Amino acid sequence: MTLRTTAIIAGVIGLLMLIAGLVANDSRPDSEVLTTGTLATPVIVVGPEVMALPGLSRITVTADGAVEAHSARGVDASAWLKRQSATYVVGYQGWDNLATRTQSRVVVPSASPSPSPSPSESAAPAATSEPTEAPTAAEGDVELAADYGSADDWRASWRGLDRVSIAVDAVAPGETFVVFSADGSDLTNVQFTATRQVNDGWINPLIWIGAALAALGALAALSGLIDTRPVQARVEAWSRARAKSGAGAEARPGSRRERRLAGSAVPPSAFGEPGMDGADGPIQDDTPAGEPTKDEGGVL
Amino acid sequence: MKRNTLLAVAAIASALALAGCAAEPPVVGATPSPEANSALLESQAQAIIDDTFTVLAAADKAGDASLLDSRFEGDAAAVRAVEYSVAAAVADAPPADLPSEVQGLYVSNAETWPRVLAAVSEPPTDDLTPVVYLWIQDSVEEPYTLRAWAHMVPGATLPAMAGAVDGATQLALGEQGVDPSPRAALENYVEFLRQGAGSELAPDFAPDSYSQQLFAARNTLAEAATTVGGAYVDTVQPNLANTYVLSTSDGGALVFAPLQVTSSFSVTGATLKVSDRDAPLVQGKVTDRATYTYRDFVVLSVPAPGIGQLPAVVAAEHHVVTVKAE
Repeated sequence: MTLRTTAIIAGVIGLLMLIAGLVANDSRPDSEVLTTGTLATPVIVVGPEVMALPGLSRITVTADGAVEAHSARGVDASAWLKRQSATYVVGYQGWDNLATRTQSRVVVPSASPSPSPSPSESAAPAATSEPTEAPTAAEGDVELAADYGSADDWRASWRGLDRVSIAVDAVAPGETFVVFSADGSDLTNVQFTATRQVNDGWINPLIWIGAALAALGALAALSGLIDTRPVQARVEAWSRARAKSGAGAEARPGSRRERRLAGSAVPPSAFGEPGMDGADGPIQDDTPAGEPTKDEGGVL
Repeated sequence: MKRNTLLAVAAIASALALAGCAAEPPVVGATPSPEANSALLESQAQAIIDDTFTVLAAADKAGDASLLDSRFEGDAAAVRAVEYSVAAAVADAPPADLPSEVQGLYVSNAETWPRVLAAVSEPPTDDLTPVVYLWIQDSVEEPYTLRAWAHMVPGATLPAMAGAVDGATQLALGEQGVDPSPRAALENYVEFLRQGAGSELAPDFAPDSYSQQLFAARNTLAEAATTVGGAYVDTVQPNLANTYVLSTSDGGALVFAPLQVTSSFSVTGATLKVSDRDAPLVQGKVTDRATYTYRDFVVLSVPAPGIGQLPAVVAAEHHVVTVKAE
């Protein structure tokens, strides 16, 4: 496999990486996520364990009219909720939906606002999604507020028109969060705002590395389409010319080339000759002085 | 082979793009504990007190007891209504001065109902002692309503109570952790009131001005009745159903006890004269017998076992509410 082929394969892989990175970048989720649920009860309850969810930052509840939000001790909220039709938010059901359960109480509708209950044959759950018949409001009628009882046990309270939006930090840990419409009508929506962790640290490296590999592969592919032989010929000629430069010239005095041309500086040893034991006098060098030696060290 | 490799790479890239970006939604964990265990935070208790005195001010101004309904109930509403009727009929007999500034709050940490809230006021004047107030909430739907008040006995000291974060534990009347139990202490004190200063139960209680005044009035009226050939009889009954107990910091108990006292004065063949102040309370035509009914309220401190103190009444009030010709 040639270098060009390897580069082309790397380029294809890089192109795939680049495409994957760009697709991921385009579909990269926001770190702040809104999850909305539809409500069909006049009361919504968020327990302390849900309020403590990591990343949950704000809760917004909308309605048609005045809305009240309160926090309370868990036991107090539970006691109060026994008489209410309420939607309990129990957590997330994916980022797009909230997990909820609904508690309905049976109420006996009365034709007139009388303090004494009157029997009726048509008792119906208050939390029914079917529209219930209500007296038509005449001009000048005052909108009656629902009777939710004492407010003494609410630890903190907020009020709004059509919506309330509360930072989760505003509710003390361990307290239950309750929102209800002032007139007893069903709430519209609940929206959780949360900051989530997005694992997108790999997207940018994937894009850059993919782009680099793709560019390399493109260069390799283009190189197969261009005739480079004239360029290669010129390069080879230049290399040969450079290799010949200096041939036949005199060696510079004192240079390694001059010493090499002058022969080995180490004299050859004469094994077996007299004087080897040191008793017969100094070793004799039979090599004529100044004779050049071969590169292998032999006498020419 | 090459095609398979490309497909695998594409599948991995798609999976990364679709699934690898966002963390899963958080899952609900353990329920965190609340920062305050008391039934009411200090701000809540103060809001109830402020609302009570706002209601009281409006009712006082109008002299109309029906305006008290949202925050007054039981003996407190009955006594204030009597004070309005007396104030309307008698000059210089205004309703009692009830100070709205409080110097101490006693909050329950109960998780059931009824629940107790008590407060001690600043002294209304230099001549009067602070007032102990008692609010009760019967259910979560009902507001805390003022049920009774009583001025502190001169020289008395209220025991230390748990703060508004932890709250005081509401004790049952028969609580055995204190000796005597709140019920026994109250019943013995009522029996002591019935028997008088010479009762053998007298040494079981610290001296208090309430019992002393009751005994003094009894002696005076009994003596007066005897002098004219009449009779004087009084009765004292605890209202156990509306008696509440809070634990103190040292393991004792503070008993908030309404009492009903009746005093009957009769002289055969005579015509009794009711005082101008009590005249608006008369029901019927008084001749030779008059029975006064009082709605009293005492706060009885039962010390913790082993500290060598006697149960003592620390606050008490004596309110006449009716005078009947029977």
